Amino acid sequence: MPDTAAWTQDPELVESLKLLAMERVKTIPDDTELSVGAGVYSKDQLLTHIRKGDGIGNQIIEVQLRFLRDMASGAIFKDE
Amino acid sequence: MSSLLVSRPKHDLPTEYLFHWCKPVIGMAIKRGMKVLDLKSGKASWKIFVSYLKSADPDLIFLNGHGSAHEIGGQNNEVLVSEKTDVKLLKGKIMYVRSCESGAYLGKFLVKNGLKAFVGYADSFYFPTLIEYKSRPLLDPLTRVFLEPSNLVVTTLIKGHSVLEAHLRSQNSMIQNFKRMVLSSSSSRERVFATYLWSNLQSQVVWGSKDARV
Repeated sequence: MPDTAAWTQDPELVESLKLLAMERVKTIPDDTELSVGAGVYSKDQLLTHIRKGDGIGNQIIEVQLRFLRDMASGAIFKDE
Repeated sequence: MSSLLVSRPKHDLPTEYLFHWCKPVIGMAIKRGMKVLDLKSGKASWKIFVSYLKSADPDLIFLNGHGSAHEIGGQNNEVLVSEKTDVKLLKGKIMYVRSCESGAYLGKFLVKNGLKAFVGYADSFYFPTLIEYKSRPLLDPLTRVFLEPSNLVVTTLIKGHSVLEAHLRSQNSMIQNFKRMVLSSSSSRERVFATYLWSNLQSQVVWGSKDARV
């Protein structure tokens, strides 16, 4: 799992990022699941993990963060 | 005759999907005249893995399953490769690991100790599934977008290309799929999971000789 130390140290930021990740995860269709490591998770299960702030939840937050950072920096469409 | 060792445990849904998605790779290797050492399901044990390394001396090793920065697992997560592995057995070989995180540390460690080249993932490896395709993983169109590019690492190596070419072809395939997924014309299912394909793309790493080939 990526190093999440920086943002997990700020409780206020953690809550904001949880909300952000949850909004994005809510768009996952009900007829799909996501394989993460040894587990397979439905949308509702992912939301629970994010709410709890456990390892899986933090991984999902980190993936969303990385994507948004790369989107904002232009890295995602740099070859366009 | 060059040879390919494949480990494909099958003890939960993620490993079951990977188990089936190895089939096109095995088929291509056989078609190309490679000897395939297939450690499937219960055969994906440490004992059999080591005995095949000793007796068959495969050129290319393709491990599927669960992993961490320090271990790669086989059936029921029995450790196949770790820092405690006798790395002499891996000397001069090319390894692709489709598991979480083994590219973060273990891959570097193995290369430092004699493995010729390693391709793997520094972070978690993600793939989505459509529930209705659970019994037919190879037909799952959503999974295909993630696992076809990863298969390309091995199939490109089987065709005789270098490790760097294998890595880049796989990455390019992920980029093409990603770009298609984020288009407004793509399905909502694809758009939602583009984030996770981006993560796989960013975490795929190469250690060791980029010029190595089978």
